[in-house]
Amino acid sequence: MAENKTSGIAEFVSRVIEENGAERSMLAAILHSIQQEYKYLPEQALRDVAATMEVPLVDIYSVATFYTSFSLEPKGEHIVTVCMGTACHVRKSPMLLEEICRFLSVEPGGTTEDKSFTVETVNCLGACAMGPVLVVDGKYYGEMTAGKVPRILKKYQKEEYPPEPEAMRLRSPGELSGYRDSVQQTRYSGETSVFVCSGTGCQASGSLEVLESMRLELKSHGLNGKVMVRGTGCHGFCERGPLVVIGPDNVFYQKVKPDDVPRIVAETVINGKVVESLLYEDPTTGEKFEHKEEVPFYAKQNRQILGPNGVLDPYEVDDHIARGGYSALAKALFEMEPEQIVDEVDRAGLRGRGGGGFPAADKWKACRKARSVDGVKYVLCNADEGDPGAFMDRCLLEGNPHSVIEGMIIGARAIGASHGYVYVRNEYPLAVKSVTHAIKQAEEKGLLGKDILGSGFDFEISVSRGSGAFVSGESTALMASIEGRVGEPREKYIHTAVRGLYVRPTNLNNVETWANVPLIINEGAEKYASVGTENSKGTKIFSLVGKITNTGLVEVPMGITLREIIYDIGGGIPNGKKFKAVQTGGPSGGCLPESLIDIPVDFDRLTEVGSMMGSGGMIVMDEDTCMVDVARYFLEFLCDESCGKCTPCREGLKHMLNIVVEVTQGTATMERLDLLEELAEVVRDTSLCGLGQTAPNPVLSTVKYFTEEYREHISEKKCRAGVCRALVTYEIDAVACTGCVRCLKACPSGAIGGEKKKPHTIDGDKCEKCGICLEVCEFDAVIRK
Amino acid sequence: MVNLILDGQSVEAEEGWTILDTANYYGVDIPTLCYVEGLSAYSACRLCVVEVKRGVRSRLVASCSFPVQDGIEVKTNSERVRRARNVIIELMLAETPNSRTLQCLASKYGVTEVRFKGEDRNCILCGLCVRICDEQMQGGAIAFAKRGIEREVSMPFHKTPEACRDCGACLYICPVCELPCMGTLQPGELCNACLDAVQLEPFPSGD
Repeated sequence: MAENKTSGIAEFVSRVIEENGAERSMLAAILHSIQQEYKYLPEQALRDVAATMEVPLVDIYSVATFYTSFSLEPKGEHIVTVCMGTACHVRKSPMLLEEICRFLSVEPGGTTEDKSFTVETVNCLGACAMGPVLVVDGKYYGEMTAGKVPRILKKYQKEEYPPEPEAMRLRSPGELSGYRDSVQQTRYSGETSVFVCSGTGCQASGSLEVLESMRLELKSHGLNGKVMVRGTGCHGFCERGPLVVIGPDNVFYQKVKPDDVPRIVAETVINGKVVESLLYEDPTTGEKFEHKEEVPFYAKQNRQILGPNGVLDPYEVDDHIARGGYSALAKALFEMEPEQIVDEVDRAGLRGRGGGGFPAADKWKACRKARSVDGVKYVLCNADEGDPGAFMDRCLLEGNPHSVIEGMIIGARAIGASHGYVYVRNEYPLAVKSVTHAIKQAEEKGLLGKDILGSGFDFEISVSRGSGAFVSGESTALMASIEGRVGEPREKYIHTAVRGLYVRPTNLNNVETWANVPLIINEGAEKYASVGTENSKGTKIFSLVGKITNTGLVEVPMGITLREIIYDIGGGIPNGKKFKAVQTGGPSGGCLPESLIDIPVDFDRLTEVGSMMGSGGMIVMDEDTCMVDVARYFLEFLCDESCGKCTPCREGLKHMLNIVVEVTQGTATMERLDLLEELAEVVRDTSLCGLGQTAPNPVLSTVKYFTEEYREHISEKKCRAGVCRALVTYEIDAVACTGCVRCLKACPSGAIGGEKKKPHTIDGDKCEKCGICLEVCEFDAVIRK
Repeated sequence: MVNLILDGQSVEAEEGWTILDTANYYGVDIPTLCYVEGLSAYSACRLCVVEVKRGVRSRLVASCSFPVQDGIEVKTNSERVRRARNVIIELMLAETPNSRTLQCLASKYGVTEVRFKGEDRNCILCGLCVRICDEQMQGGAIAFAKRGIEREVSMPFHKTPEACRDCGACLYICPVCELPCMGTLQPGELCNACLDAVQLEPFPSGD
């Protein structure tokens, strides 16, 4: 417990600073260590840090209070985190949070009196397909319901680092290809291989247990060493996890439990037969599919970036090398001049996958041309994937970190940079672990660091952890954050390509953009550009979540229609509900109605209709989603995440939220709606950074495409989706009610009265309109009006 | 030299000047709050926004930090600028009704109504105090703490740090903690006593 440790604060702080170095850029890492040790930042510790690092105490106080990962108040022994991302929100995470708080008798953000639990919320953990998601001390629980809460609040699972391979430096492209051949022959000669998805989504459904049973079972048959087993990165189809794929034919098993493992080994691995009951079955046609490629979810995808995720062990650089990894690097270093690399990327038409879609080669050129006072330039990877509902960057970093690292080295060579940073969200512990490990392995192999592959080119990469601030994904804020300062944006009238990190020319690209680079170099610009539309080339990864049958990560060629993604790949809307809207671009994007779902997915087209590509969250909403509530949700998110520096974003968003809340409560007037639009335009026009400039999009797009719903809330005091609590009432139909007491027992506020076998009634004054009664009733006797 | 158009006039500016520098040089009035000569530009209050047109695209930028460029067309008082500026004054007044600086700005620019419900926070978070403490006094005693709507100027742990020498520079530079406006008390109220006296003449904006 923290109390016992306070005496050793000074020693602990000096040890942490010694380990990390007293550089200002290590401040976040140092604070993370203190937070982890004491579960909060003791005042004395911060004073010690200030004194040792010779940084003004007030600067450290600023940083400590800016980021949500840090706390100045002692926290409980167990941290319970409820995800409030968009996908979890539409799947009722607010109710889950309410139930947890009620169960523990604590407010959100608070700590129980006995200091055993702290309940926190987070704006998206990137496990959207499993939503709503609950995390206890780092362990993920997917598809949570209020009813599961009491059972869960105990468990904890330790994670292990996989064994590390022996290091051998590669000094030339010849040695790299020789090593590749030897790895392919010695380690991957077995015909059968088993891939168990170990992405965050599948882990939440218990895939680590499946992987463990698989290893034991194969061993008991004497097959260890003969059959290759891989705990791989995310396969994308999180809805059906845990997933197991058996090579070489890619037999595809879904929802696998540890009990199923003996059958899989006995029948499929040993006898080559298929276990029917574990195959994917189309929910509408009932057709079963044996192989991964045939499953409709995968059939229309083009997984050129995500594909390797399913067959690589992210902790084994050899896996990456065996599949041709780092061959693009060898080509870029030995067969191409830096200008040629930029030119290749230019002709490939690669545009930034992080949101804006800015041509990558233009940035590279500007940064390459920019003069640096001491010759130092930086290359950064933005893995601060904060958009609620998006998790493709997390999956790439977790599942295939070497592709990102390889892309960064190639970019650094093209630009002339000597140092790079990967800036990762602290909410992604697995990604931090996997990329840190991958950097170490690449260094040991001579693929990163001094004299890469004997080319004379030096480039090193460090990992910098974010600390819970969405705005830190903005380029200037991200750079401030890496420098160990508060992550707030500044004006970039002078581009970061000229004046960026530490006032040096800096190039920032997103994870997915970097992962595209080796592909372009390997297959050439022409082949790469043959996929996509005129101005949007290649593929885009989306996280398809919300009210959709097949949730998960999908990678599609640019130009595919939203309808194809939602209906052909996503399998449409579950439970016979009607499609209402699709949200792309996260808090900067917009909600598109059914009339627009035949537009092609393309950077420019999505912007034209008032949304944007964004980093790739695609949240599907059905008739049970209230569009005013969605606007309120995003405004709340943005108010929470605004850094508060500029007036329009800080004050403007607050008042926009006030007006939208009035609408959801039925107290707004049409004049207030006009004011909302006026304010939205000023916020868009005058905010300092991209967060504020795009923040009005969710409001403006819902007002534009769903005006009728706003009008109904205001004039008729009606919420057609039954979401806005102030505007709905619950009643029990006395004829349909059988008096089963289920609702009576489930009601958390004790508002339902009555006896067994007699119709129940709801006391309107006590009713908190949580809707649990409606969910538990099996006789359709609860009516929402 | 850089050639640009400022409110319809062709003007020359020194390389490295901001639009605000240029406007001040030619006597064109742009209101500012978080900008003071001698401190670094912070671009946060957004009161100094002007419309900049280059090619066909036009956008609002903070004139205190936007460096002049050849061929740009700047409008300091277009319809778009006036609307944005007035909403910003209104937003700040909703939280800081008793600032005489803000009440006078409201009168000067014809803001006659505050349509937002705020609470009297008596701070517009312009950061002048933070910057003067750090940049001119080498103090480093105060800074911004927390973020978003909870953002505040604070001393570490709300205790006066050793670094503070009680120099008073922060009080001196604050645009809010001066003599309060005598005309108003409550959030949402406007003084407007000198509305007719000081309100701007319609400006030849080149619209």
